[in-house]
Amino acid sequence: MIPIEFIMLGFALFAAGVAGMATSRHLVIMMMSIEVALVSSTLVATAFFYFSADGAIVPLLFTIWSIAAVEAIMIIVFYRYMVRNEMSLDVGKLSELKD
Amino acid sequence: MLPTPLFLLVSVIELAAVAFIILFRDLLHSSLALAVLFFLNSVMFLLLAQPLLAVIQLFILIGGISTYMIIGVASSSFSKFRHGRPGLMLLLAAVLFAVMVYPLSGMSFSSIQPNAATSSSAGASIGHYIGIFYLLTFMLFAVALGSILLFKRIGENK
Repeated sequence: MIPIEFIMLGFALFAAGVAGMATSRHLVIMMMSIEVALVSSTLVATAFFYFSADGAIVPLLFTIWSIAAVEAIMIIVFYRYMVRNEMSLDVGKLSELKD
Repeated sequence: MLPTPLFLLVSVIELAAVAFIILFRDLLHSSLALAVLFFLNSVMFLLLAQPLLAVIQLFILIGGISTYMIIGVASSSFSKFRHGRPGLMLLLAAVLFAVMVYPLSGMSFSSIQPNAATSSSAGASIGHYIGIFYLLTFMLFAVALGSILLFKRIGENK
């Protein structure tokens, strides 16, 4: 039997991550919200696949964790670069740069 | 299947950690809340009877990503500005959750059996040592945080 409460929790975490990404103006917080959505997807995938599918879930989980790791590196590189160059981390102000 | 009290406790703290990630103004605090989320998600894997995946997640997410992120954020000046809209975020999260849950409302999962090929037997051999892994992770994480705070205090005194 699929543990439905784990799937519900994964959905709630994913919704909170996407909502945080959509409503926040902070560049780093937006990327952290994507991390939340990725982590919640591992929970949902494990709850679904380990109890209902025939295929192995481990390669999928490693792919998701690799993406999360690469994204963490990107966060810190962007953050350090922008702080060093005294750029604003507000994406509202960043979007004005193109004008 | 009724959720256990441990599941309810962990899930409430996990959801609170997500809210704190987005609502904190200090990036270091957000990074710490993200580390708490990773840790609790690993506990969720344990509750799903997958100790091997829980330990792997602990190593990758806490040992790698969180440590790197906290050190990266702590070694720069912190940026503080009001960046979120909590009401709009809550509304959007509720709408998204309802949209995702709605297709599951008419489905029945009672006839689905655990998958024998990928069941918890793969991680059964490390099940006895899982407490040591978690204790070690907690201790190393506390040491890392203490080091950052110590260096920060030394820098302020100079």
